[in-house]
Amino acid sequence: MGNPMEPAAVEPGDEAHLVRLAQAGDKDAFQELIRQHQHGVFTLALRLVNDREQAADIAQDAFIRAWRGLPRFRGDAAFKTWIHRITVNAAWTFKKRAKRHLASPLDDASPLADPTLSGNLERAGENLELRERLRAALDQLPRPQRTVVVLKDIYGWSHGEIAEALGITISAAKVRLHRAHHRLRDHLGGER
Amino acid sequence: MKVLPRRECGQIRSRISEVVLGDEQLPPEGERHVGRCLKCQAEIAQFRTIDRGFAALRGEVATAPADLVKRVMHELDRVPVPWFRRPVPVSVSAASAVAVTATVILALRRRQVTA
Repeated sequence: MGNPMEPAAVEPGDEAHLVRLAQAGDKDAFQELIRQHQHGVFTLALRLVNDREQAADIAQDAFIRAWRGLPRFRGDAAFKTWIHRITVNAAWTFKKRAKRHLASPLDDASPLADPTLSGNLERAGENLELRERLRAALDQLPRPQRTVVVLKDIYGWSHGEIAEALGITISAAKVRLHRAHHRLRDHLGGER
Repeated sequence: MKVLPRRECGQIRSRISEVVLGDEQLPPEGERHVGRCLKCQAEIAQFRTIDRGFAALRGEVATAPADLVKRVMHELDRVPVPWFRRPVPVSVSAASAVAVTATVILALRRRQVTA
């Protein structure tokens, strides 16, 4: 039985059809796309800002931007990739608007540790402990560093994609990632 | 066997994160050094632990708020749909098709008369 938290699997053809309908102005089709991608978009936003309310606002903003931008979506990338890029941009804009909320390091009450999370929770034990430690370490990273770590190490984006999304050079993305990795190592108990 | 100076050991260690977490490779002399350097081996072990942590995080999905879809759709209702994305009524489509067909037929007839 599938995980109830996981979005339903979508056939690529079905999704392309929904995208075409939405591009033509069909809001029902777009609503279906939102349903299918809401958890993924929300999870990404939550990882970037570590605050459920802000993540919900960012997800909402991302879907509205997607609706407006749909006529320009050519389908070169998957819809998921495209909406994730928009989410990163929305989080970036949000950060500028609400900087004071986003700079604070977070404590054990990490929203990604809440009971609505799914995935590997059933696989308790060492993975769970490691995950919690890593999450706490990620929370202590400065936002720009956390963003590149989330995009590279959790979502598998290339340095080029990260640089493009964040409006920085590839070298800057690499430097941020390098520094972030070493900070994580330090937070997790490595030597300085 | 050549023993790397401390400075070079530090250089290798500074690249280990890219080797373990990225797609970089150490040169052969670097690998040989790591094989006998406990500090570098400890560094590798630490980054492998981080890598396992990332793998565990990748499987997580947070549940979006129950009202997210509703919120978005409510906002979209306030966004006017541009004219080029509005669905065309069937009557208008049919009328357009008839007009185009008639124009083509007339053009063909004119060409025949001229010839």
